Amino acid sequence: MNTPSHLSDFELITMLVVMRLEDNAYGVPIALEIEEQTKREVKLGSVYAALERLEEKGFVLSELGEPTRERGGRAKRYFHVTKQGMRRVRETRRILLRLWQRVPKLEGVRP
Amino acid sequence: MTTPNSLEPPRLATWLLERFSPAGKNAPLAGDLIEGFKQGRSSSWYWRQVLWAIGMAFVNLVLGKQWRPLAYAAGCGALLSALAGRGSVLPRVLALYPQVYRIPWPWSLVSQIALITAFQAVIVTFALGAYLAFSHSLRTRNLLRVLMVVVVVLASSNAALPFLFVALSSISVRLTYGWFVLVVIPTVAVLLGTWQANRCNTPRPGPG
Repeated sequence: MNTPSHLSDFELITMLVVMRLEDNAYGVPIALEIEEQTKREVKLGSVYAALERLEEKGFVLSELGEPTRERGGRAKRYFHVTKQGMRRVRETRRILLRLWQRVPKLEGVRP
Repeated sequence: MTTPNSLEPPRLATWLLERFSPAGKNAPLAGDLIEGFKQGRSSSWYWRQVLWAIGMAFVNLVLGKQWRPLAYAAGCGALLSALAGRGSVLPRVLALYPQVYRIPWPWSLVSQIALITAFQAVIVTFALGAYLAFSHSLRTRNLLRVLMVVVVVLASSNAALPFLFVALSSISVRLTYGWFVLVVIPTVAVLLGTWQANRCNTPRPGPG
């Protein structure tokens, strides 16, 4: 049986943020955006762990930028969502919307 | 948080991060933490982030995919080791040897290797089938691909075993043939098979 890779809520949030940030999707802005949206402190280690899992599943790709002095000579690692990742996000959205619409208590509440 | 920080981040924390998180992945993370600190985050934030990252790296190391084959093979080895002392199957297989020896050399040797390889292949097929089933990738093609590697490993190990015994007996190391046949060689084959299975399962990233 070919099981589709499951996305956790944190992985889904991270993928949406990477898509939103486009060419500026590296650790700091990704973590800041997640913090802003969830109102919780985010650990960069967790963000990287989620992104590495997503990369293993083939949903994101990463590449290293140039090292900069402000970062102590360390390079930025930029992420972007693959076509396969886009398909999985759309599929997850479709499933969540369908489930949302079938819960009468949530009628009128925008997902 | 929004006030830029002119201080340097705690050096000890950076040093710990670079030593105790995966090489190749820690530099961008360390750079992100330095950038975050310089954007006005506190030293306690920096320390929390570093300790969390080291903890995550440790958990990933223990539970990570690369360690699963080793853990599974060790478990199979322990199980086979426990069964080796009790089972009567191996003596029955070894009892077939005298019949094999009636065949002229080198076919007797080939038959002996084939007999023991077939016996081990049954054990390893069960173990690998269970592994593939647990990792939700039990497909005939995957199992056959893994078994091809396993049979080659088993046959070549069984062919090399008599030479190993001769070599080690000359340096006074006492070995038990049955233990090697029933535990060591199948465990190594399970380890290589699970590694191969993981390679088959690793998804290839889609284009762009």
